Amino acid sequence: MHIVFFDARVWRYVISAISKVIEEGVFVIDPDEGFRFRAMDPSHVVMVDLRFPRDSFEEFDVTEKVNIGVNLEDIAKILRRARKEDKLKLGYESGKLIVAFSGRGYREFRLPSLDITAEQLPEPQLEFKASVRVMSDTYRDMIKDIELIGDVLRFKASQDEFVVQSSGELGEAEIVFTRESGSLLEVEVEGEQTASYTLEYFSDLSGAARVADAINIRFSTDMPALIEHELPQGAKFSFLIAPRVE
Amino acid sequence: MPMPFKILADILEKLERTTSRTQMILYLVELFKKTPPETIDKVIYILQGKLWPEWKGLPELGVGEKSLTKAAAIALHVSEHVVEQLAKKYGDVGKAIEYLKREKDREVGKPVGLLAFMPKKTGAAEELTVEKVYDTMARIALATGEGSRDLKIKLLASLLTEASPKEAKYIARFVEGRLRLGVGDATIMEALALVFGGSAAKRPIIERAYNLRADLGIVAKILATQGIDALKNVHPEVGIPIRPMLAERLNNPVEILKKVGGKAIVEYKYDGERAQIHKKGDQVWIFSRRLENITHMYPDVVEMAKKYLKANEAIVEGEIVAIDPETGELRPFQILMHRRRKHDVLQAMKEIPVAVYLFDILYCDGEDLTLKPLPMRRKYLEDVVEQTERWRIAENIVTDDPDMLEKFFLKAIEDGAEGVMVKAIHDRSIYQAGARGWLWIKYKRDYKSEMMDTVDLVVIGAFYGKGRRGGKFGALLMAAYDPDTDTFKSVCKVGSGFTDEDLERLDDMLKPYIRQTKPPRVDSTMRPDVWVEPALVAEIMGAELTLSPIHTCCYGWAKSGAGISIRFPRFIRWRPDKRPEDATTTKELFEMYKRQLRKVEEAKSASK
Repeated sequence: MHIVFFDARVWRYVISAISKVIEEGVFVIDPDEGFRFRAMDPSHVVMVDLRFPRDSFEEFDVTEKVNIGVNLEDIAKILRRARKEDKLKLGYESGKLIVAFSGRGYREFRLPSLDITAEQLPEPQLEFKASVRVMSDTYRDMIKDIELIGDVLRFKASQDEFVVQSSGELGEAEIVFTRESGSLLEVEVEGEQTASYTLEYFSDLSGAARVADAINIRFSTDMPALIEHELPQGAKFSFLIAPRVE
Repeated sequence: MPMPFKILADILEKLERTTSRTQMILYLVELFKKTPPETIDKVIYILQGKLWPEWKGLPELGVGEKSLTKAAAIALHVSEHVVEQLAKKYGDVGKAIEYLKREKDREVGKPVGLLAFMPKKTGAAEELTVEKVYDTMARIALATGEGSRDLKIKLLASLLTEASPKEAKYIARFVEGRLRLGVGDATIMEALALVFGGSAAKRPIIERAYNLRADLGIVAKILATQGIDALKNVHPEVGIPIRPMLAERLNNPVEILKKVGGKAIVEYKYDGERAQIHKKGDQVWIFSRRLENITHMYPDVVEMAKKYLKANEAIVEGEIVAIDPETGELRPFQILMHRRRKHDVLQAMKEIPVAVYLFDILYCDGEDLTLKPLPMRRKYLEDVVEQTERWRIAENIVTDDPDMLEKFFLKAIEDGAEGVMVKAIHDRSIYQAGARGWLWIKYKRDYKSEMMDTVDLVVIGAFYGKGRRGGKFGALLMAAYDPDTDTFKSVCKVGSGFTDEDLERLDDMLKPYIRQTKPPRVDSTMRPDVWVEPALVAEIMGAELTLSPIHTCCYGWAKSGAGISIRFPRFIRWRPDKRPEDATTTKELFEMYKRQLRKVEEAKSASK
């Protein structure tokens, strides 16, 4: 079997970001569903979910479902070798995962699949009372701003404003997204919602935003937040993060 | 069947609260009865506060207080600062974590972690098991290299997340190496005997097995899965250290010989590192006295064992001693320890060469020799050891005469040894692994006289060098002047401290004074390769002034049958301004000896 995605860099940044939070997991490639990777970090604070639907691939030659156990850091190291205009090919052959770049020339890596079974992760069933859509670069800037100040970030959403706050020894920071300034694409809130989260996970995963078009942030007061990255070709990377209740 | 970690945590709590040994044994019995046989090794290791025996050379957890705090902060969803403050308040990170977890549990509706927001998995909530705790800890320890610190923290955080408050406290304490149970190996063995042997009287069987295989986890597992009889058949195994036999100490030669049964083998007690050397085919392990795997520190010893230990499988014991490569003389323990501190082993090997002095054999090609008497073991040892300059059997004599013993003792000291070991050679002189007994008695000095200042001594003889210095003079026989009899009395043989240049010039310097027979004014029982007419004076320094059965300086003054000599002497420089009669006199040396005579402090053996 093999699948080909048009831009290896998308994978490079997303997998590299995930590898900072998750050590290992299982790539699932399904003839109907396409590619999916889900995993929870050891401290049970973050659950990541990466989906590339079948149609997002240029070539999709899969006849039966395969599970490939991988060490994400190893895969990320290889993917860091992706160059501009490289296509990514993933394959699976007699227990080995094939990662190949084709652009200027063809470069192929083969890694033994790890013997791990996919963790049975529950599907979150959460209702989010706030839903915010921002541009990916303003989202990344926001994280970099907050990093200067504290290790906790606080989301606050109301009718026409989305505010991110933090405080630390150095002082306080407040980043305001509004419709007028163009930084806020959409906002939908029931009343006012506020919740706090550990910044470290946002920082670790922020690399994925480099290849996202827009970011959807959904949360409710003192409840988990779902950060959804819209990737090219209808692919999606999202993570669900537990709130800090202090 | 996995074992809930809760059982262990409950017992740990009870153990912590008692100081009575009897009570501890009862708790341990309760614990072992609830432990599945295949898990008992893990339980034992946790009780011992470690993941595996040190000798395996596997990494320790490698989680410091900072990392533990960080993991706790992640698991508890609080800032590190909060954990730190509480840890300060309770003086214990474990307690702080327990407190925080309890608080979180109490705050109804304020759940922790993502799972709280998700539909419950089918079946009961998953309980933390001993296996999971141990295996996760093992993964933490084995995580090495780039990014391993983060991985360790994440793994630990996941454990703390799943644990109950009490469980989390003990996990944290284990990580910190602060279980503080006060449960010793002997107590564990007694409880094992009660549970699996039916009576405390079976403890010696367990003890013997533990002594032969320094891994209480494995011993307990054999006991729990195969029964007490299986332990009786435990034999030494190459690659697993045997707990060393230890010696009692006495300072009176007459009493010593009486204790060991009249006749004994007396060996130099070298001032080095005791080593248990295991060999199996081409593989060699070296274990320290404390059973650490020190193989990597002595690649030269590994080579020697491969070449000159003539058995396919063997376990021998000896002392690794630093030597002067030029003269082959022994050097003090402190020099050897430099080698431990060096990072570049190959460089250290060059700078600090060693010799190995073997004194026992415990196992040879399938035969357990630990229950054989010493003379038989010595025979085996002589058979399998092909002696070379730097791989040899420890200097020894067999005697029943206290005077001989004393003479040999003084010679040992003068040669740079710490003293002597006197070992019984009767029929019951077995190797008592892990025990201190009167079969072996060490005889060390009570007093020593540290050398504070240099002396000026006269050359009365010379010795040809070895190795690189072959064919040329490499050491000198030095004497003090006795004005009363106008003679030069021998003090020491010095071969260290010369520069290459000094040595180059030596032949020419000595030439005019070399004599074929002993010059009339020279008094020496030690015979050099050539005699030298007293004329040249050199400044000499050493570690101590010591009694010597060989040298004639101050003979009989401090002790009958002994003169005074210098231990670890080294050449400082020539004193062309001095005539031989201006050299340090025998009286001055004697005064120096008396002035600095002090009781020997017993500090080093503890650090060794």
